[in-house]
Amino acid sequence: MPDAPTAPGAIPAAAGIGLRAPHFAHVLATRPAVSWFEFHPENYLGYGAPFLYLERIRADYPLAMHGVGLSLGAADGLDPNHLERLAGLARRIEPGLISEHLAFAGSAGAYLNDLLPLPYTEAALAVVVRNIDRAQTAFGRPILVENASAYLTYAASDMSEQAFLAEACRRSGAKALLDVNNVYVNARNHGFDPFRYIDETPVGSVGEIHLAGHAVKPLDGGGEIRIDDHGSAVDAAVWRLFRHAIDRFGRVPALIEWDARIPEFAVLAREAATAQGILDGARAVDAA
Amino acid sequence: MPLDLIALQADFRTNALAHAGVDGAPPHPPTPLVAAIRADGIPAASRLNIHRNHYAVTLTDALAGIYGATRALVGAAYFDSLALRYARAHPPVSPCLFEYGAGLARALADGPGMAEHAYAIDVARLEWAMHESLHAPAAAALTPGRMAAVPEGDLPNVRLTPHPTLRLLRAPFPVHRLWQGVQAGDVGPNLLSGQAACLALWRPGFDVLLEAMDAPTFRTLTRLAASLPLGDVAAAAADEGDADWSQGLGLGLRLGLFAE
Repeated sequence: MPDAPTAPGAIPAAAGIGLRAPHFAHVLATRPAVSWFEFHPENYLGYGAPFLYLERIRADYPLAMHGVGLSLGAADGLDPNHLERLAGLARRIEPGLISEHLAFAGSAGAYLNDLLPLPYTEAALAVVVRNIDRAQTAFGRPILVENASAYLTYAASDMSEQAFLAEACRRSGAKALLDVNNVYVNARNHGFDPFRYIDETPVGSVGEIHLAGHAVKPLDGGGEIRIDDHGSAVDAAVWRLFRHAIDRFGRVPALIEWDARIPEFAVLAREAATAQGILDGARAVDAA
Repeated sequence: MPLDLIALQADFRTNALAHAGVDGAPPHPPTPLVAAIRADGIPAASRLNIHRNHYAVTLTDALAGIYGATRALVGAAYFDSLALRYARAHPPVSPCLFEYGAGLARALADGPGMAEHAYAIDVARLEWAMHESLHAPAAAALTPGRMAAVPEGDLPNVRLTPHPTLRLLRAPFPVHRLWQGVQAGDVGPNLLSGQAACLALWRPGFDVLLEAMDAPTFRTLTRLAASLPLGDVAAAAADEGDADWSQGLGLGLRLGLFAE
């Protein structure tokens, strides 16, 4: 079982839960035995009521900050205003980890509220590395970069996603946040071996793992596609992939995410306990 | 020719924001974007439509979350259709979704058939005010005791600062009762009659509170919240024949509507 709540600070190599507004009051009232929480900074930048909850939860739990809108893949560069707002929140909360996605979120000042896929080319790599550098300068520390789900690929891509992510991390000094559900969703949607993806990701490059549920949707005109909707329990195949990843990378912080049709907190706690059981069975290897 | 990343990303924006045809069918995505995508058994347009739908669903859901009572009053189908048109015409300019949707009340006012449902526009204004108050930063409130310590001779020149969570709202009918009726699932026609509502919304802690008041008190609070000197506030109230303007000041201090 996870440890009792500890002082804020570093994120332990244990199972955590994505903090969502419907659970604020429950977490404050019951102080559940969760090793750490992760929050989306974009929901707290008004410093209003959600921030008051976050500050109180911070007093009892380590927090990781996981951005969804910085757009590390933006060809026209990061939004300096948003980056400064994020850096200001990081100074207030002092999260144990800061992460973002290998994706772009919009274009020319319009945000599409999505994590849009990049072509895996040298030109895109240069854009991503430049943006990660700027983010790390603003935060004053290395960040983690998460592989996103993708429903399309580009003819121009001339490297694999795992090679692209590993190279972006190598050049920028960032670490990978490996979302094994996204690896599985992309593997099924684009026809590659998800275990090979894990095996081709360098040992020591992974600083955190994400776990979530996905949906299978029929497509207009036939066929089906897996959608990373974070709206259900983690799939059995994704748990197998997680075990494989932990065998390779050793114990790292692992997070349960649930964003659509959010269930009561106990459901997330059970998912986190499953993840913790797998982490506990892993060899004690420091991923650093 | 190498892929132009800036043009590619702009094409995703075009794909997400283009309005559907009159038959509801998605428009053709930009040709260069389609050409850049591997079809791989599923047409590129179908793949792009996943992102187009994601934009439509998540933005409409976000607006429905803010404007729940408005949506109940005008009907879910009408609201969602209007919210989608709004989302396609006005994409978020910030990645913070809580900042999105300020203009929806105005878009409602221009909506077809809305003239007879003008009350819903006021409910939308109320819901946006509550939403803004919820996300506004906390601050210590100016207390009556602190105010009492100001030397009397200095008072006419004192300017108050509105609490960051304070929103003042006026509507031609008791809009807050209608909003409460929707929450309770009890909306009767009598909720649309009655006096104009003069409301203050603010957030002393986690929750947004609401106080209704008479029109003179509301006018005084509005002037105080605009940081006019107290002397000017008193003079304006006297001009309007409101002898007891200090009621507005007293109420504001008691409720904590001004910042330290």
